[in-house]
Amino acid sequence: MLPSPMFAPRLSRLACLAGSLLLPLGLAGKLTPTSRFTLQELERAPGLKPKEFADLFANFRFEGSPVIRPPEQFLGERRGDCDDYSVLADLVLAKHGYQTRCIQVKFAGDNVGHAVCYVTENKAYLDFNNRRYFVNLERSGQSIRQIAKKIAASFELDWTTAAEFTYSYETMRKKLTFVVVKTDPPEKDPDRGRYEGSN
Amino acid sequence: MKDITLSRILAFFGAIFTVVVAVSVVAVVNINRAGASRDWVNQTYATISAFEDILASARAGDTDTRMFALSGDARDLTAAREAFGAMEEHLQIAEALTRNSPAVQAAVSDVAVLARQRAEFAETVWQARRENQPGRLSSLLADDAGSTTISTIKRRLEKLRDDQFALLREREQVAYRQAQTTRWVVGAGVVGNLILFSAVGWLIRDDLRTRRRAALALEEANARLEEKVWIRTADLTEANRRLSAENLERKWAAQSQEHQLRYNQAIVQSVNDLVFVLTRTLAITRLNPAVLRATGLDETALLSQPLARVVSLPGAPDQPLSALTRALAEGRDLHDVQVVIAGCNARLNLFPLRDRDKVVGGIAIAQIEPPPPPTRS
Repeated sequence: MLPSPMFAPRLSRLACLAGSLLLPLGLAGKLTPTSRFTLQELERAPGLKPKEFADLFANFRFEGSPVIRPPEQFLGERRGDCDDYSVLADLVLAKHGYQTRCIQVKFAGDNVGHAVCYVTENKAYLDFNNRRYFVNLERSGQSIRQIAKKIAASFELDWTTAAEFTYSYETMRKKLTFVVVKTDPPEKDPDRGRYEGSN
Repeated sequence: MKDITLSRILAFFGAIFTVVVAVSVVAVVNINRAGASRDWVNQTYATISAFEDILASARAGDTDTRMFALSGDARDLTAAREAFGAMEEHLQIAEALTRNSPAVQAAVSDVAVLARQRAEFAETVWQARRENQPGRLSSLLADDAGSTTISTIKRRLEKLRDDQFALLREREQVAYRQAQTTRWVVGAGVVGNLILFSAVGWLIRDDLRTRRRAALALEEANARLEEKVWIRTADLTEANRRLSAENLERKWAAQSQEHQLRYNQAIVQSVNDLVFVLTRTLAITRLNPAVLRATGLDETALLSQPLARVVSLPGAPDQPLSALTRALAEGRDLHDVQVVIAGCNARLNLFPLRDRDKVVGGIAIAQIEPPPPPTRS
């Protein structure tokens, strides 16, 4: 997946600095961006909110990989990519009672894509590229098309397909549940009607 | 003139604005179409990419499965699983990308069936290898030795890819034509606006030239008018000077006449002859002081009175002075008429007064005869 420095979103360095300074203030329990933590600690952190979860990854380094790293490897090495982050966020935040979805977007021109974890309660998604910023939850509509548009705009690229997917660490299988094609009429999107009345 | 020019300029600017708006609208529409075309081109590329990824991951999965069968290395199994997992993902994406083209989607579904068969076969091999069943494993691999599934998948995907390339060419042509249309529209708009701007420029230039000519003509007319005014002023000044001179002359003449009149009056007043100015009916209208002295009456007692009051014929004091009246009526002079004034004999001369040819009165002049010297007895 794409590295963050090249496609940093629109927040300023000031916001980044403010984020770094303010991050420790909003953290749950003893978990901090500088401390090492495990999957169990994340799952057991009381009242862990999506923003607090995102804050914890501020010091993680980007390192692309064709496969999704197991949580132990991702958290232990403190490096990974958007897939690792979004799948882990989906797992942990779901344990904390949030309704989450993993969304991947394919961009035009290259066989690259990006993945995020959408949190329905916050009407925003967690993006590994935003982990260093104070505002690390990007607000968006709930449909796959809306999320894809927003992500593609942040990369200044065109998107071709976007899909909601699930991933099992046990079977190491990724499964696409809905695939949306940009050129299809929005009314024919497979996820159409799922979010009516909730937006 | 000014209003017409302004209206024309406004009309031209209106036309320019219309052209700009029209070009903008057409350009925006074409840009949107170009965006849609670009999306279709991107989608076609994504479809081709998905086809290639399906084949690549199927081949990789197949190879990794055989490697695992031979080596039993868990890393090969992981790689094979990942490859078939990726293949499944690419298949789903390819099916989604082609769902609006039933024929293509049917072909992709056929490929998917073959590819999934391959994945199922791989699962069987993995299971046999994990369960350490060399016989079954050999049998599976031997049966599969002559399998043409991968080459069939490859052939079909290549066919699909070629079709997509043909489609891509068509879509590229559409995009190119749209871009050309945009270029032409924008170019035509620019040229049209240049022409309109030139027309406006010409109009303004023509208007300025006309105004300049009008200003020049006005300037010349003003100069002529100034000359006329100067000449007229000179004429008037001369006329005024002449009139002043004439006026002075008239004044002098009037003064001269006045003096003359005063002299005459003085003469009349100073003579000893009795002078009466009479109407045609012999009523006294004026008289000189000699009359007052001779009669001993004052002026108010004599004016408007008949001449007969102070003048009578000798020996017939009550008779009318008909000879005088007749002479006036006939307009002739009368000389040396013997009359009596204030008891004295006098000789009277009558002269008619005329206004043009009509006798309006007369002047009677009487000389008192001195009394005869006393006779010595």
